[in-house]
Amino acid sequence: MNKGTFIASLIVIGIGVWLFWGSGSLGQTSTGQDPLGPAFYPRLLAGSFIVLGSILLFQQVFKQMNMASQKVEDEEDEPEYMSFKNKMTIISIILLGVVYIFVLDSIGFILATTLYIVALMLILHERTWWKIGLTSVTVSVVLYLLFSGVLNVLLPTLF
Amino acid sequence: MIDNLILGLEYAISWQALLVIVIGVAWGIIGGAIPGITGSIAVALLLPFTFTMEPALALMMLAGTYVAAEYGGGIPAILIGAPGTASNAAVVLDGYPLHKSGHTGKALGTSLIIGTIGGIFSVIILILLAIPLASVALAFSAPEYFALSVFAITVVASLVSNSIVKGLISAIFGLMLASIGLDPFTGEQRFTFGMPELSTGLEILPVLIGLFAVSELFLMAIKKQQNKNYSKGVSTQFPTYRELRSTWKATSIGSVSGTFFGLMPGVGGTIGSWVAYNEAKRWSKNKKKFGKGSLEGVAAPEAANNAVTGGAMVPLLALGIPGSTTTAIMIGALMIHGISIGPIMFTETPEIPYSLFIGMLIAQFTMLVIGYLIIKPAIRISATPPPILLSVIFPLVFVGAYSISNHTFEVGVVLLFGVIGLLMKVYGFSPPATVLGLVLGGYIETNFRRALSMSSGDYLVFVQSPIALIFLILAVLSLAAPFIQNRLMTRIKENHT
Repeated sequence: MNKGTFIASLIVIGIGVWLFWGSGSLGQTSTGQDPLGPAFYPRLLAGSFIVLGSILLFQQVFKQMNMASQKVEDEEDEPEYMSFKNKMTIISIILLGVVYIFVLDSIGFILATTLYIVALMLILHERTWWKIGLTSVTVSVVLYLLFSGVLNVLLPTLF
Repeated sequence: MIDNLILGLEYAISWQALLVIVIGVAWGIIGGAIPGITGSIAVALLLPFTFTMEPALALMMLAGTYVAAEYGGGIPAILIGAPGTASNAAVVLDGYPLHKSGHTGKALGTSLIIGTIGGIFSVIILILLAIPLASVALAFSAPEYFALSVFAITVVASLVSNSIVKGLISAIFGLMLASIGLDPFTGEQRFTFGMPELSTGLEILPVLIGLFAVSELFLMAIKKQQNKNYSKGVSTQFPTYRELRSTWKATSIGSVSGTFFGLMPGVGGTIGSWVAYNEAKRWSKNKKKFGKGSLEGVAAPEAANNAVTGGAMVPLLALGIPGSTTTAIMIGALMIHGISIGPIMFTETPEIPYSLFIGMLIAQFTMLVIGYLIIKPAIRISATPPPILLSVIFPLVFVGAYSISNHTFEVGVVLLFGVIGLLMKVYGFSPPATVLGLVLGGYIETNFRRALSMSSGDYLVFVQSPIALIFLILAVLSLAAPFIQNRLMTRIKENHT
């Protein structure tokens, strides 16, 4: 059984059930213009999710039963590059992005982006200080000038 | 038609148009050459710069990038034996041996010149097919549109993922995302979770950029860079006219194969270039040279890759159906301007499709010139170490998302869908199917409900129209397409490896 796919199938079924239930509040009244009512289409999608998620789940359970009877080693469905170290790198980059979003409005684009790039380069094992300094400042200033000056985007500023 | 082509020509030869095409093409070559940046990511990264442009100009710039990224993707395939995009994989077989034997310039030159020929061929077919197809499609009503969209989604869902069930789940996930916001019939709020930002639905572009670009950037961050110094010692001695002429058969096969597979939703470049390679070998007089550095072996897949671009534009422009991720992004780009792609565009805003036809032709010739001029800088830039590359691209993606609505909410959407896209890729789901679902979702729902309202709730409305019936049958049949595709690809690859 592929653990990731097994969990994914449960999530799919869960989302399906949740949306099916949530669509109930959309009203069932059918009109001449819309004979099925507003809840029908979301329920159709949610129902399809439940059915497809269940098929995926049964496929995994069936596979597991087959493997157990043939005493085959459990296969891993994560690609090889998803090692613990690589996962940590990706999680750090995601968390860094979350922090960036939260501070962007308060400390302004240039400062937030400069700090973001410094942290990103450190996560990616860049240790040459001048490369980090030059890249972070140049990229944030150039992007600011390009988007704020040329494309007229109102980017957040510190002051 | 001639009047409209002249109108398109006027648009496409303005200095603004030529400038954006040159920028689009140059970025396409550089972007495509960077390992990890596919054509669709290159196009997505350019999006924020198109928001303030006229729609016709925006589309020409994106099309320039799309066209040129196919050539750019061939550069790492030839130089390091690692294709920039999946559709360049067949180029490795002969391009890389040519590079190793010192004939790099001949491989790159063939890739550029023959790619241009393939591209021009496909644009001509695009013009010949799209215009009549659009006028036929104008007569479609709700049941036909619904059936056509369902067919497109089913094909992509079944072909792009390694499991049909996962592909279909991915597509329905896209349809669900599209249903967030206002009910198109009653105006009622759906699945907005009380968030005002969701009241008019999810913006398509941040979701697209997240699913494709950001998820790929995460993977780029952990992949080891190959062969840092591959830019050194590259000969740029191009093939002679005689050498190029010797590839005419492979070029013709590639151009036809690429255009044909480009026309089909979900199929595209990868299979087009492998079929081209296989057929070129079968019909070649020098079969034994294939795999050891045959120019024909480079010409066939490269002509096919570039020819896919014109083919893929046919369903996009004539029917409003994107068959690939890049064309889905183009729909998103036009939605920002409040324009919906499809047959109606040929009558309401003819300058957009017609200037795109001419613009794509100009882009091919521009690629030929710029491709030659910037080959060395492009190779050098593509060897930029990932920390620096990502330090430019991540902030660019974020600021691009921010500029959609001047709000950090969109940056959050980009990041969230980057994570979702990554998980989908890791566990074998299909982000392209989700994107297609998202892009076509509103269209499917509206036409589904409209068709049923026309028939007062009678489902037979979908099978009474012969066209709708054919598309629905094709949709069911397309569930068998992966078996055919897998058998075909396995057979071709076994032949050559």
